[in-house]
Amino acid sequence: MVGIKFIHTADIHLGSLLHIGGGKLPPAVEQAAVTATMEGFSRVCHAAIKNRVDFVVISGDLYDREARSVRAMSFFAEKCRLLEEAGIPVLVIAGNHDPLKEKQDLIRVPDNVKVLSGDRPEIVEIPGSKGDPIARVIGQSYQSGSLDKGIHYDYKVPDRDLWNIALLHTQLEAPSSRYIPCSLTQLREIPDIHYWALGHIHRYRDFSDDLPYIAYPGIPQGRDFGETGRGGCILANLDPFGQSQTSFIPLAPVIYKRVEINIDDDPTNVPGTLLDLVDRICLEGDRLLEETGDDEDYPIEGYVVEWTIRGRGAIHSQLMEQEQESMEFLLNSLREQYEGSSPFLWTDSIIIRTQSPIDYIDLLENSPVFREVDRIIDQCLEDEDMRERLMDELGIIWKGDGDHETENDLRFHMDDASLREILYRARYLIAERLTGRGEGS
Amino acid sequence: MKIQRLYIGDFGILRNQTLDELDPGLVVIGGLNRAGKSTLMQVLRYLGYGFPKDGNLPPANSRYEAEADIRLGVGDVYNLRLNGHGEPVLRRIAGTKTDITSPKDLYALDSFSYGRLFTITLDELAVNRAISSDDRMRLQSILLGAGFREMLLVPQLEQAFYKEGDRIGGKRGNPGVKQFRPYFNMIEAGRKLKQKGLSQVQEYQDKQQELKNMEEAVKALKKDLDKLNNLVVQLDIVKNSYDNYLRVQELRTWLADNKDWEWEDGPTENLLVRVRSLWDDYTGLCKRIREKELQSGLNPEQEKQLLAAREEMANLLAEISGVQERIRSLRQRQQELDRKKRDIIIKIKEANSHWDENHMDYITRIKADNVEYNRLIELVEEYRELENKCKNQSDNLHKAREEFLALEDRAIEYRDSRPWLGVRKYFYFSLAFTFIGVLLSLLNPLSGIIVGVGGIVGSALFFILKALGSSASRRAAHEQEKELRAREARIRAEEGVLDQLRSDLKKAEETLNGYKDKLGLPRGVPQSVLPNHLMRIKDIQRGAAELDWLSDELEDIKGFIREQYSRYREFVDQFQGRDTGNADQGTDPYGDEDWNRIIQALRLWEDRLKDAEELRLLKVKIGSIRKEIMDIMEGYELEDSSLDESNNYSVNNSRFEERVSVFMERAQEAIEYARNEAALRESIQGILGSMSSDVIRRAFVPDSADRVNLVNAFMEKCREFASAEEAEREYSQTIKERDTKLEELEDTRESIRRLEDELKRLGTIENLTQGQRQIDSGRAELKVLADQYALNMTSAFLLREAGKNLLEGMKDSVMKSAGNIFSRMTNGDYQGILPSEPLLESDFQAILDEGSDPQTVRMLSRGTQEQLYLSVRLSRIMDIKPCLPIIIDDSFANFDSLHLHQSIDILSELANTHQIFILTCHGELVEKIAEAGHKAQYWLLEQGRIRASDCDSLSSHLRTLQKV
Repeated sequence: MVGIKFIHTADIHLGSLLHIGGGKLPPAVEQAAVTATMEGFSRVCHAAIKNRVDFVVISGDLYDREARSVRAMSFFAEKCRLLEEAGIPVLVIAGNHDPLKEKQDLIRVPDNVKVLSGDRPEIVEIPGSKGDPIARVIGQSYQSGSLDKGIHYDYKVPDRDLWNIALLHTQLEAPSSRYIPCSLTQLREIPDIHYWALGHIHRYRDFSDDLPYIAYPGIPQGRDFGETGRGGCILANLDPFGQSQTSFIPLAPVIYKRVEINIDDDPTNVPGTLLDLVDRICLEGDRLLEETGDDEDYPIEGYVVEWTIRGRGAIHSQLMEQEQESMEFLLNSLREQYEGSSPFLWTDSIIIRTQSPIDYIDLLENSPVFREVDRIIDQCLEDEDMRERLMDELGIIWKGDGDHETENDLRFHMDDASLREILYRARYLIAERLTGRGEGS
Repeated sequence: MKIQRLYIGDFGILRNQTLDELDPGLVVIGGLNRAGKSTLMQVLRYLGYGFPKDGNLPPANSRYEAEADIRLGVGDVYNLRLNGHGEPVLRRIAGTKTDITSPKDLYALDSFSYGRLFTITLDELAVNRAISSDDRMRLQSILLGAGFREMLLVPQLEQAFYKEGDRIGGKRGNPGVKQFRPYFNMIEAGRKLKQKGLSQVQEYQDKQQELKNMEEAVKALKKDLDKLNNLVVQLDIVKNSYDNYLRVQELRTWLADNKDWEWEDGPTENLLVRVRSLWDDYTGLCKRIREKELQSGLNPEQEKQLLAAREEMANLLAEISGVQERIRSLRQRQQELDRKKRDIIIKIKEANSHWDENHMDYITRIKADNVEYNRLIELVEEYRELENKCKNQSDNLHKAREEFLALEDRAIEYRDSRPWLGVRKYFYFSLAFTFIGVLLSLLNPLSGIIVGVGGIVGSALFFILKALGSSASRRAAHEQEKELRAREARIRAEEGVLDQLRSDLKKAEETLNGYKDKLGLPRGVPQSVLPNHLMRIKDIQRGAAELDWLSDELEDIKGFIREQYSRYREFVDQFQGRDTGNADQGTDPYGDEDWNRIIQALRLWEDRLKDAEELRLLKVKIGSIRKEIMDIMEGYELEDSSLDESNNYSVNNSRFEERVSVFMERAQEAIEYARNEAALRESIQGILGSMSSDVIRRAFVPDSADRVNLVNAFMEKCREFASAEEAEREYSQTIKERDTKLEELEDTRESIRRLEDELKRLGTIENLTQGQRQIDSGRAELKVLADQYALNMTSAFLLREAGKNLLEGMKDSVMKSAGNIFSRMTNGDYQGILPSEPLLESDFQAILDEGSDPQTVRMLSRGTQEQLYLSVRLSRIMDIKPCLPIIIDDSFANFDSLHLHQSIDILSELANTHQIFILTCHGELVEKIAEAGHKAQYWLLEQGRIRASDCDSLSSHLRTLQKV
């Protein structure tokens, strides 16, 4: 065996748009929203060419059925032509977002692109520079939007004489999954596979430091706040002399970032006005921009930020009483503040979680209602039935199941953190009302 | 809280009704059915909350209007004013309380709770109340929760949160309702747009397939069009070149028929034309030669002779002018000789008047050369000296003699020399003028003549006048002669002296005379004449010599002329014999006539020579023509080429002519053949010319550029048609067909363009982008609302759960109070009330006695049910602060007398703390209240009008009317 290098990427969702809130976006942000996923893939191709890899594997969801466009297909073909010119084959399996059934070959892809079969695991040998095979790529595409069969058991390679790379689009370790249910143990038990190139999970995860490698490269370019952090791809270097290693190449042009600001971190400098609050947020924004490294190959084009303002302070009442106006002021101020910055910093949203100074201890001692409310909150967090009852109260709009694959645009998912957040906010709200601080008291 | 005054401006049947100074305790208002009791109850029910729009209220006449003065405690009075459906307006009339600023502060209970607890009708007390499940639970919560202020707040807060949640997203949190709706719509629109964007891919594929099909169709159409275009091109060429086709056919047939006319490398037409031209020249020259020969009359020998003498004749002709010049010179010299001769004769005569021309020889023989002029001068001088010696002897004689001699000399001179001199001068002058005249005449004949004639005439006049003057002199000389004679006499006298001298003188004279003799001078002439005479003689001799020379010269010229004459004559004679010579025998060869004749003859032969020359040239030319013809013919091999090489005009003429004729005939055929061949080529070339473009060539022969194939294809195509017209018809038909195809092609292309535009549009992600942006924006906004919704609903949920739990915990204490009232109201028939499970969803149970099972309300009689509910309500009313007015609308109809009494007692007690309005149509109830001795205020309500009343009047009024 000879050493090989390849790029492992997945879940590119080519052509899908970044979900950026804020009405009319500035041109740079708007442009990034449209092109970032394509730019992400372009950078993956660049990384492949720059690192002179032997091949590139794409472990599903190259496209997004929600954003499949002629433009995206043309772009893919165009970039693959560059790889072809560099002599780099591209091996692709279809995922649940771009199953073969929905495959629409509108744009002819170059000959270096091979989409693996959806009927059964298909093996493709990768020739080396001398023409002899240096690796095998095995994989099976999704035929439709789900695949609940453990197809990994059928990933059988003839021998270990070549590097065996397995492409699998799976929701690993899920209790029940429509997306190839399997576990790490099962994968490790499949013989002769040197590298499990997984796809489906949008966050980079590397499960192993040694052969067989099992890794998710994550999405090269995140598209919403569910995909925060910088996306990238994996450069795998398999060495017959035990020096194999994988490395993550961060290359996403746009980063989704959640930033929490506690206004009472410094009790001597708690923002008293909205302008003070804007200044306080800008400190964090400036810090974020300053911390942006100088990546020549893959520069960060911008940040999409969600600010969460917490803590107690007098500003809370203003934020509560003039919630809409305050929010508009903060959003406009921050967007104006970073207008034209490079990289751009776009304030997607601001979540106000400030609190008024309420003496909860006193309340808990003297208010049987609040005590009971507090007890029920704990019950909601701990008791599944109670939680379900509460969820019933939250109505259809919160009936999202949290599976981003099936998420409905008109519903939201209440995850644990969100529920806890809501419950605490409700607790706070009730306390305010009971103590006569809030509205209508 | 007590209503002190109530004014109802406009509410259902009640208009402008005032209840002043209402009792703070029990207020009994009696009235029959439809008198306005229920209407009044509703006014009281909504007094602190405002008239709702959906409360099934009696209509206003124009606009709801009500007003009340409400007393709190001792001195605080507030005015509540209701207008339409608006919120009640609170105004403090008296008092100092500042914590009550709104009706809510006044009532401190929500409308639902107040309505359900404090306004009691039979409906409120019925089991099967027509209320919703939510309201039932809420009511149950109210009924069970009596006792805590915070607990009273819980339902309010819960409702507030719930309402807020409901306001945001409705009861079920449906994204498509309430405040969610706009964003729902936005997201839906975004989804549609996005779906449209996604469906573009499918559409793109469909369109792409459609495009492909259309492109195939275009290809097929283009193929058809190519064929039709080719056909059109072919037909166009065929119809336009059909004449060429016919011509080619014709020429090919002719050429095949006349194949034997073909002469490869035969003479060209130009050559034939040349030959013909030469032949015409030849025949023309032959004719001219013949005519010339006839015209000139020259026989060949003569021609030959003439041509041989051409040079000599030329010389002779050239010399004619020289000869003529010599003849003219001869004549001039002859004239000069004659003139000189005449001059010499004159001189002779002047030298000696006796002499004439016959003395010429004599004079020429005088040996004047032997006489020295100087010696003669000496002798004359010696003679003069002798004379002088004689003179010395005789002064006078001598002088006289000398004078005599001088006089005599002058006289002689006058006599002898003057006329001669005059004539001579005249002659010279005339000559001079003639000469000048001649010279001038060269320039200007007229002036020459004038000068010449004028000079001669002028000179003549001059000398005539001068001669007239000389006559006078001669007369004077004559006088002198006489004097000479006299003087001679004297001289003779003295001559003796002089004799010697004279002897000497005589000797001298003799000597001189001898000279005179020698010189032919008479002796008598003075000695002094001798020298001059000598000079004259010599002059004459010189003139004679000159004459001789001139004569010799003349002879020479004559000899030359004669010689030339002979030469010319001989030359001419050789052609014409001596036909010109007979006349010239003895003729003067120097005369013009002879010469003219001979020159004329020469000119004649000169002309003939010209003829001969012309003939020669013609023959040379004809030879040249013949040679050229032969040279031409020699370039083309004929079967019979045995013609000699002679260029002679006369040689083999007939054979030559025959050959030329054959040649020309063959050449003509060959040329015609070649011409037709050329015409064929030209026609073919014309065809090819009309097919010069690649388009046309390809139309006929797609795969070959070979001209032969092209022409063959053309001919083949032409053969399909019997005429150009037929081809024309086919052409028109094909054009139509092609145009149709072309239109079809253009339509398809237009469709392709549209499809390409469509594909371009479908290739964009605008819809996807816009849709996603709309979804994102909508979701962002919706998320905020959903958050708010969740917060409110969670808060409501938490409060509801908390309230319920707390109610559960408090049920015993709450139910105890109600049980006591119920027991009292039922006069001990029942011991108490229990809530059912679940608390908020089930009704109450009545405890009959210890040990027996509690009875559900449905098991109770209607009266007992109403008493139970009334008990529970009164129990809750008692717990709720502030004490709000209670309104009971004929709720005791099903109570028996005992239970009614018990109830009145309970109410009477309650009236100590609460203002209680009892609305009834039963006089019995009014009486019972009175009988019980409770303090009460009575009002009569009749036909919407209220007035204060008393127990009896009211009771009586109600009873009377009831009976009626």
